[in-house]
Amino acid sequence: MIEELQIWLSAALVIWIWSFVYKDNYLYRLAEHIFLGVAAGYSIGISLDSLNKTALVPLMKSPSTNMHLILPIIIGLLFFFKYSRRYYWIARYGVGISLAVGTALAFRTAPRANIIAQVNAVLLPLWTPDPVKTLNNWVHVVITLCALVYFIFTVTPRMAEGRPTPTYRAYDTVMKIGIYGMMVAFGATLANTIMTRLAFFISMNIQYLQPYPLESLSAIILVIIAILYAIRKAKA
Amino acid sequence: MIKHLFDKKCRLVFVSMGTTGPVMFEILRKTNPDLFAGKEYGKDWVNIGYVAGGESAAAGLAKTISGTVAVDAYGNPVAALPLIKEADRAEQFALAIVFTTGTDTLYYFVRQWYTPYKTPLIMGILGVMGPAAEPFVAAGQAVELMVGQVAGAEYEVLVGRPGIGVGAMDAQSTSHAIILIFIILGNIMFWSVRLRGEEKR
Repeated sequence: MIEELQIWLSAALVIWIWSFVYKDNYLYRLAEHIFLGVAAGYSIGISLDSLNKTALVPLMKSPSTNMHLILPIIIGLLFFFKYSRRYYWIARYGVGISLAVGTALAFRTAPRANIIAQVNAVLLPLWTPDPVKTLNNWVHVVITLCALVYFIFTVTPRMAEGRPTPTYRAYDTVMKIGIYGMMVAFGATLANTIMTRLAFFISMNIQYLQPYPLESLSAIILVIIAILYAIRKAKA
Repeated sequence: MIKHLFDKKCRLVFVSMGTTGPVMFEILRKTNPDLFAGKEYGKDWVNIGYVAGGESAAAGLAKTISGTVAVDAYGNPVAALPLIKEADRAEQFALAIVFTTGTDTLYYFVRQWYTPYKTPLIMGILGVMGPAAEPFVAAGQAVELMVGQVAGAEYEVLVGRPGIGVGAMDAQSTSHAIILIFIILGNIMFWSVRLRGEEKR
């Protein structure tokens, strides 16, 4: 019975949410509210479960050895002062401490992971026995350097009496190579975004609609009625 | 991938840094009951469940799992599980596989698991995250990436277990071909309109 309901609901919710592509309607809004309500409720539930596992259970089992766990619980509770107009400022201590801890943890390894390792990855050999690798390394190094030049704003060559100097021309060429490199990267990201969205669409179809034609058809009929009603209401 | 790893006698610890993880894991278990058949819980695999805290949680788990989480997803004391007794810290893991829909999680594991403990990472990510994650492989911070549905389909074929990934590839290839045709048609139209405009001038 519950599984039947799950099938009907999933097919209906997928189609009702997609119906927004054509026109806003009551069934779309119903699906949207169900999704938001369930997601919020589920997140609260699972977050409380996580708190239980990481802090409350150890504290109950052996309070003497886990006394330090009271401190993060208190810091977490400080966040609720946001709801008080008078004591709103106390919440800032909770936010400040959690931000400080997060930043400190990230910065412990961030210079090595995010800067040094990435810079090292660009220091590639420009002559290798493999011609494809050599070409790849050249492209990698040249595009990286040219893209970096594009972001140098402090010292830039200028035109002399409205005419481009050789330095200006060289700088302009390097900058343009950097721009083209970045455009290729942005293009790849956009193409990947489209691929991902298509994959979502196809997966939803394969998992929730295709195996259940009756449920899908019923949801489509209902949403057509809702859209027709929305059109009629808009005209009136 | 789970089947592949179990076939290779690997022992697995599952943990979720996002709230949707536990649901996805239970769906996976329910829809593929054979994956865990013959495998003993606590000895061959462990499910820690969701751990809140983002990067702080990743750092805590890297330092000590049993010190960060008291009980697993099913309420068992984590410290008492035989597998966790053997692998409680990041350096005791032969490999960490991160499946995520957010680039942030990749940074957590690169910064808290690979950089301090040198735990090798494999990343299973969305197609859209591919270009952002590529530098991790170039810098040696990740062993390999599995990007998008294509990688999923390829993996299914590789391990001889075709599933949804392979099934979706025909539809995806067709839709990509249609997009390509529209791009070409759009460019032809653009250039023809432009050339006609220049001729009129």
